[in-house]
Amino acid sequence: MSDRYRPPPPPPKKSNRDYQKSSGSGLAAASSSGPYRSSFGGDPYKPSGRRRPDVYRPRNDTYTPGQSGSRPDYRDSEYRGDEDGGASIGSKRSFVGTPSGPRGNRKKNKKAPDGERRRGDFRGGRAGRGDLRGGRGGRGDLRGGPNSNSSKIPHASSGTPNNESLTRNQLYAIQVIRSSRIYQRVQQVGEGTYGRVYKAKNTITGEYVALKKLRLESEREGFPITAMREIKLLQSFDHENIVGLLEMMVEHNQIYMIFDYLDHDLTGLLTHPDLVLEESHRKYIFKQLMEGLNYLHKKRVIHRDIKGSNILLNSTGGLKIADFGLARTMKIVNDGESPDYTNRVITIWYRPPELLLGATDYGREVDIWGVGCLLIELYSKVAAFQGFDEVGQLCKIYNVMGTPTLEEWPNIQNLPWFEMLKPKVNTASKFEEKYKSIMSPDSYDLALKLLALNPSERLSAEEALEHDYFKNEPQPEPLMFLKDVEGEWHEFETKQRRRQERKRLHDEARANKSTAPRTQEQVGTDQIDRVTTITKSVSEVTADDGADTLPGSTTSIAPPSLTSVPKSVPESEATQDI
Amino acid sequence: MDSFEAATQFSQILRALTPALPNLVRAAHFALKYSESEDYLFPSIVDILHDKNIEINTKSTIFQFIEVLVNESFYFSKQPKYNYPYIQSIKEALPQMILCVLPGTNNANIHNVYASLKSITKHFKIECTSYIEEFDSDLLHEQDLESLEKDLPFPDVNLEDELEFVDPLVSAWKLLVRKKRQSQYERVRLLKHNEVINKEITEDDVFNIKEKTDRAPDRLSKRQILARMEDDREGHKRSKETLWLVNRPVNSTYITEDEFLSHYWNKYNALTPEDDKAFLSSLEELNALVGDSYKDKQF
Repeated sequence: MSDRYRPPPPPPKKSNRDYQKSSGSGLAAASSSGPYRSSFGGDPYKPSGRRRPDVYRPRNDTYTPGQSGSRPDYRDSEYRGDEDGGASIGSKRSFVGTPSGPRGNRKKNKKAPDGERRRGDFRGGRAGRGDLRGGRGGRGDLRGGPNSNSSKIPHASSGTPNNESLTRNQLYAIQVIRSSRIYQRVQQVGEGTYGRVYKAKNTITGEYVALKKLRLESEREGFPITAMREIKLLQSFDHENIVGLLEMMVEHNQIYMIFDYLDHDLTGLLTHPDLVLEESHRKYIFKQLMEGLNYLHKKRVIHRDIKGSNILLNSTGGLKIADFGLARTMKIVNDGESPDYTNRVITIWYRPPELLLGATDYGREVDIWGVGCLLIELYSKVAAFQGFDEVGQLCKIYNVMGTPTLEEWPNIQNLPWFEMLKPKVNTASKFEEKYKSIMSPDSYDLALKLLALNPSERLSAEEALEHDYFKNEPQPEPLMFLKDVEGEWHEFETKQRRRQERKRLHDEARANKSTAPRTQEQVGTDQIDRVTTITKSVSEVTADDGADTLPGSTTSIAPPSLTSVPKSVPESEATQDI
Repeated sequence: MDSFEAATQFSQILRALTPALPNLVRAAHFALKYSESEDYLFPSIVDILHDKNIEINTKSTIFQFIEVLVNESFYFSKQPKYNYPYIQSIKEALPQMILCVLPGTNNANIHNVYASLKSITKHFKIECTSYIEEFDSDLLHEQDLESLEKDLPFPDVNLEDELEFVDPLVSAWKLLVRKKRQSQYERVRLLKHNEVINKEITEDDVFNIKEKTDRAPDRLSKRQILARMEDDREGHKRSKETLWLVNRPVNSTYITEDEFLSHYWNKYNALTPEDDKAFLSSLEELNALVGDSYKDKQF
């Protein structure tokens, strides 16, 4: 039986049929916020409540108040019966006409000479399905009684006998063509292997959302299972520091995930040339990050792509962790078993040493390393370990943290690639000289504990929240000044601006080259300084008339100075383990 | 194709072997197809492992190929046509092969060899679990600690060290564990006796990376290290592709009772005595509660 319609419900109130009103955004998608969701969940039916819009009902079904009121039990059982769609093996009930499932009934419907017979048939199919769920005895008794199904049939079907096709209100899902778009795209704010992210405006509510368009062209095997995993995880979250999946949308064979929209991301914001963060602000950001991560870890979820551009911030510094494209729930393994995850996760700058050495039996600690890197970044504004590949990344880490000693990490020698990347010298930790001066004593201590080389020595998210950093003064404070920050700061835009700058530099350098080929060597560095000053003055100008320009439009964003910007962050790896 | 031609072609296949599983299987099937020429084909495997010009990444791949070959040979031998080709020769040569794949003090391949040898061992009825467990533990003897104090290098691991009259598979394991001990020893020696550098270091300073001018095939260049990581990841991914396979009668589309039972049986451990006690006592409590809820005394 197709999912497109469902068997008949108990007699409803005719006046309450409002399928159209309830279809949420009006698109051919199940809105997660509208009444659709509650009907999907199979909430117990309440006679006084709103009518389910998605159940099949023959057109001639009429409602008699007296009858309905006198059969509450029957109705309840009927309702439960139709929740378990799918089971269509025949009924053994004797009073109904056919023993076969609904499909058979439908065929018979056409031949049936009178409405009464047809009606009975239909109910028969349904009763059978309900029966499969067990509890047959009790319900059977009810039906056999004076209020039973069969006694109602003549009345119910005495209306119009012609009932060949379904009407609109009998359909379970209807595609409604709207003349205008619900979501008006404003601009692109992100891109990755998964697809693209756009900022968009909901034209009905006026709110901004983020549209994540799934990349489907390359998928020959149907809907990507990784996206499925992401959606499933997102649906299970409910926390203020985790990005919320508002709904899914299908449009022109494209699938969109619709999220809360936040103005900034951490990487983008930290590239703002004039941004000055106080200790209380950093604490506010980092506390929320740890709260969000603690929530995930409590739910046995590993994020596996912690990095600045996945940490979103709103205009008061409210924080949400986003992008669960690589996240997964942890397996439950017996003693001695390895969970055997892929180590091709986490953007390389934020990848912990055990993953760089090929571990496949890691756990939540891999996220902790990432937030440790971000804590440093809140102070230094640049990523702590910027390696180009696995070898370089590990070298960068050893350079700052020192090579692991026997006491620190005895079991490192059991990691698959340890022999391949075995240090041949011992280096000391330079963490103190590098970061002690720019961090507060508490944050320095916390960072050191989050960035323990040995994963088993790293603090858990819960332990981190107990750290003195969050207890001592100053207390966390929202970043109210962000409201005045011009434009929106995402890594994507920062990168784009940088790319444009580089292109301009390149073009100018080429122009210079053709005019004065001999000074070619000097052009590079001179040019950078010049362009930096130019763009700065441009930004001051645009900041003044920024009120007129649309928020988020590229013209109103002050380009950061080239010198203060870190290298572009490598894209996170896309492949996931199966 | 005569035996000689087959051997030449096989040798070419092995030299160009990449660690993608389909390639390994294809090579193994080639070997099995010409299994009557085993006397010609098998030496080419040994020759390649001994070849000093073959880089050790390839040698690691060859060892993985041997694992696949053993698996396939056992699988093929379910047909009466095959009588466990290559198995005996491979087993005899295992200790030698391990030393070829882990030359000198370079143990870069040790993890892959360990995984492959573990899988090969499953086919033989020889008790090796103690070695498998031992592998990831602290292997240093008291004698080692003494030599460590004196900053002596670990003695070379030679075939003769394990030439007692034991099964070649057992001596292969002994050699492998010895190799691991060597690796642990050298790590401790470095930490103990080398000074700690306090300046900025480069990749070439920290790691054993082959430089461009360096011709030694026993060391890996950076490119080779990265390629190897990618290969290992790919292999890891491939190894999961059969996880969903189920043992089910042909033409049956339903989960059988047995399958259902064994799935959940294997998924959960037996309760510990404490858990068992806690479970029974709470069950008893529940029973008492239900019993009390009746107006009349039950039972």
